[in-house]
Amino acid sequence: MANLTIQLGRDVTLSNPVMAASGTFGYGDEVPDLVDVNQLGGLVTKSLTLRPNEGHAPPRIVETPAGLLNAIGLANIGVEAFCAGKLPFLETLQTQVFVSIAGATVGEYVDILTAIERSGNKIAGYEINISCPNVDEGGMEFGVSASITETLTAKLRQLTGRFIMIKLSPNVTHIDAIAKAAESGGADGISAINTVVGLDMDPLTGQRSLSNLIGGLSGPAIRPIALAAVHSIAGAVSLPVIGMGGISSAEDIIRFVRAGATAVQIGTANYRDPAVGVNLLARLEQLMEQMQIETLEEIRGVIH
Amino acid sequence: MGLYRLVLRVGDMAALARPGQFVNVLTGAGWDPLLRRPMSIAGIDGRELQLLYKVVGNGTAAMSRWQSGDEIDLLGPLGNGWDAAADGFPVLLGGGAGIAPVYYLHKELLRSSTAHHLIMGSRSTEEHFLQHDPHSGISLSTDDGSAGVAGTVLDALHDLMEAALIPRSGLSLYGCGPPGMMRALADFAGQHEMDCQLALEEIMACGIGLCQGCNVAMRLPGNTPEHSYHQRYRLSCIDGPVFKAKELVTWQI
Ligand SMILES: Cc1cc2nc3c(=O)[nH]c(=O)nc-3n(C[C@H](O)[C@H](O)[C@H](O)COP(=O)(O)OP(=O)(O)OC[C@H]3O[C@@H](n4cnc5c(N)ncnc54)[C@H](O)[C@@H]3O)c2cc1C
Ligand SMILES: Cc1cc2nc3c(=O)[nH]c(=O)nc-3n(C[C@H](O)[C@H](O)[C@H](O)COP(=O)(O)O)c2cc1C
Repeated sequence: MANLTIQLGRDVTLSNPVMAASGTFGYGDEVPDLVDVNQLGGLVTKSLTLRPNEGHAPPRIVETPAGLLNAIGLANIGVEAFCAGKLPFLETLQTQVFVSIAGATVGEYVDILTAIERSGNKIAGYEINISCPNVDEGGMEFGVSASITETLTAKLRQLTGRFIMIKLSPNVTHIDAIAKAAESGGADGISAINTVVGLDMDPLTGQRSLSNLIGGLSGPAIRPIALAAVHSIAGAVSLPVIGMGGISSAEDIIRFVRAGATAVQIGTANYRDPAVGVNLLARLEQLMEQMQIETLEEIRGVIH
Repeated sequence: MGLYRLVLRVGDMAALARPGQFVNVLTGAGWDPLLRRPMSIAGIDGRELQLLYKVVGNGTAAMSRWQSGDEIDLLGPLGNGWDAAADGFPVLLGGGAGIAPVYYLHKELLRSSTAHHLIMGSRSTEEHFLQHDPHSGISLSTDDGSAGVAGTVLDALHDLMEAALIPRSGLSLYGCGPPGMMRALADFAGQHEMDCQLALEEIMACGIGLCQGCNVAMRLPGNTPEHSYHQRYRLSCIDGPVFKAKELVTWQI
């Protein structure tokens, strides 16, 4: 019998390895008619900023071959409205909830996390989105610097005993070095990858496809990039890696486990079918039986 | 190129639909296209739902190849729908494939015996499936003059006013069509201080508010704080697709 339970951290057990990725599942309360959120292993909420944020002007999305290019611009309700309006619902869920946070300065990350620690007691932990422009460093993303990643992680580590996963950007030269920095800073897990930087336009008129010009690519198109990143990270750190990027099938989940992931997240595929994560579980069990394994752990990192 | 009509047996979902709402259709199992395609509901008949669409790319081309008896995957009904209780004599204007949500409203108004006028505009006669009959409440317009009034839906509207077939004031406009038409309608409604609702056809990914991709710029009240959410922008999928023209920033339409 396949056992899908995943021990992610000392205090965090997932009923199965599938979580919903940040920004692709709202705050978990949008889709009650379409999917039973509690059947997911975990749920990562839309990244929260300190203040409410309108995000970028339209257009924010464009479809590209087997991919979605987006520049939403972290549109979100802000931490105050989140604590008052969304957290109480999230705390009633049986699935493990991770709150994604995004700051423009180290101080903002600290303030957001502190605010949630003050009001929330039942969440499993946090995902730290470090693909954000750092205003103290001239807009350079936090996630491209190993030293800033370590400093940020260490700061947040002092504020909470809950699970902290640092979500890495693939748009760096050495993702393994950033992962090591997060580990040194005291992270409990590494999630990867965030979207891959991209651009598109109308070839004849030259009209930009996104108001922001530059966006982030997700979906099946980025799966091999994500697998290589997960492989590299898993070889560099001893923390659990939560893999994502283009997952749309049970076979894809197994690919990420073989690349070194302990659990996975599903993003863009939720837009096709919000129940995809839950619906893949039966197929995943079937494939595990076919491979004659009881736990995914048995094939984690195994590529011949 | 004409319009395609698709009739779907949707069962109980049909009873939930309102004019102006849409469904989000998965056009195939592969990754081209990756996302669902939003389509306005063009009519409900018992447990059947009708779509009217134009083939513009791979998704709609795949739909046009569906055979009778195929099973398809769709989400809906989604979105807010028209506010059919708006004051004034309803004039419904649909341009090209934009006829779909307008046609459904037309059918509902006929059903409730509510006096109104339907104007359908297109490039040429091929896209028309109705008869030009202004005296019984249906007018057509074509860019090339091959059917009905030569010109735009607004030219047809002017003609109707001149001929006193509709009131000169106190109209309530319901429009859907290409961006140029919707902008012209919004301007016209603004100049004449008429109530006007527009069904926008913003590109969408999820259709259910998860991705925040289909935002629409709103006219802002003066006191909007710098840090706000859901004021500068609304989402076409859950706050729309129908918006009051006067609430929209013109370039957005
Ligand atoms: C709420 C809503 C209701 C709609 N109702 C209808 C309807 O009833 N009938 C109908 O024919 N169409 C309708 N549309 C538009 C329809 O969704 C698009 O035509 C369709 O997504 C195109 O898919 P495709 O894969 O065939 O083309 P693609 O390959 O995606 O695109 C082909 C071309 O069409 C353009 N295009 C794509 N999507 C849109 C869009 N949403 N608006 C304008 N241009 C677009 C692209 O920029 C490209 O130039 C509606 C859209 C929305 C948001
Ligand atoms: C529209 C959209 C919005 C996203 N918003 C966020 C976000 O707020 N925070 C974040 O960390 N990642 C965000 N992501 C990235 C996803 O969580 C995920 O890392 C990425 O899309 C790769 O996975 P996928 O290919 O399964 O979508 C977003 C992705 C998309 C497509």
